[in-house]
Amino acid sequence: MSDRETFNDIFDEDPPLSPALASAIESLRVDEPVSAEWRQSLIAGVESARRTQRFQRRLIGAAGLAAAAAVCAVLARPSNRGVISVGNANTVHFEIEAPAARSVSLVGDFDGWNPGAMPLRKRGNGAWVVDVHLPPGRHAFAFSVDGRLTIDPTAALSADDNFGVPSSVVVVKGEGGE
Amino acid sequence: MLRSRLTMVVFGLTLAVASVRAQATSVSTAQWPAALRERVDRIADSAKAQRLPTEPLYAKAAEGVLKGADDARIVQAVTRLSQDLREARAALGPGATDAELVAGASVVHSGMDVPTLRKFFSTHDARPQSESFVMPLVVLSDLLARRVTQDVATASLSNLLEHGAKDAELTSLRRDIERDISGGQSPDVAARLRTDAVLATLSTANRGVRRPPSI
Repeated sequence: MSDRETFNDIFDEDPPLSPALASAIESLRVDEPVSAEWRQSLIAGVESARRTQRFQRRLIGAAGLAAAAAVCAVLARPSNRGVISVGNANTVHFEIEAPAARSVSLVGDFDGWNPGAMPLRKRGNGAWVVDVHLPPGRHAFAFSVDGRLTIDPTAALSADDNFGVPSSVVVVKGEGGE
Repeated sequence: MLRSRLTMVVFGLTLAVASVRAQATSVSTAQWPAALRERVDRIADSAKAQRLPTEPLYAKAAEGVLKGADDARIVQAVTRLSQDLREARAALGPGATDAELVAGASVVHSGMDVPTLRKFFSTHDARPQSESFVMPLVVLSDLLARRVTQDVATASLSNLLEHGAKDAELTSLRRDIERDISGGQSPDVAARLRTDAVLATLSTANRGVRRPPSI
């Protein structure tokens, strides 16, 4: 491979050269009597600088990934605290703390997973509540907080979820109460 | 005049309550993709022909839509539920209620075969006819989901039902076993110990009842 080809390869490779390095390389294109030894030392220097550039890029990429993972972990963490209690006549009290939410509704197999069917009402302390009469049995449910599904962190999780997104579970026995 | 107005108001309120209730329990399929709706309708029609409840099928599909699952996954889940309901019907018989079928389907989903479920359901005879068998089935599927083996789970619950355990005792049992397993206890050991504890309570309460066979 000729020196000229080697120089062109350096320009074509990724990552692109910094302006200073590009300028230094470009100067070698001038047909001046330059010794082969000097050319080789310059090429070695460019390769070394490029390795440093690649390492820095990988480091920045890894740091970015770590930061993104941390943000995802924080976002995925349930920030709302829920309460379920089952009273007389199978009336189940659902409650979730979501002070910043604009709307919260209850969705589950008892309302056809319809976000508009069972809205919760907001209390002054930032808690959202609703009382629902449920038949005996196991009921999968979730809260829809501003349109985003949120499980109840205090309830058991459904073991037979088919869609990769967990649901909470409440069990209502015949004469009321879990 | 006043009476007729009152009648109209009461009639109107009844209609309003009925419509809210219907809205709350029926699944809205209007927003679904047409192809998905058609496939779910077909599965539901087939289930209906076999006298299986269709509402859980639509609810399952609606859950998938709300959770952002793709159509293929939703159809797969609905098909699987339909099969579980069919097997539950085979095990529980034509007299089972819709709620019992749904709970039975959950047991099938947990891996129990039809003959074993049928045998377990026969302990229904030990209960008063007015009492539903939903809760024993719910607790059974929960125990299986918590990795209690089939033999231990069915023996525990059958034993308790034969000794007059009510829904309250079964739900307490379920909760206690779950807590023990979370605390590191082996599922089968937790089920045996908790069952023995409930049986001892029942035996004290019903003196004269024969001693429960060991499980």
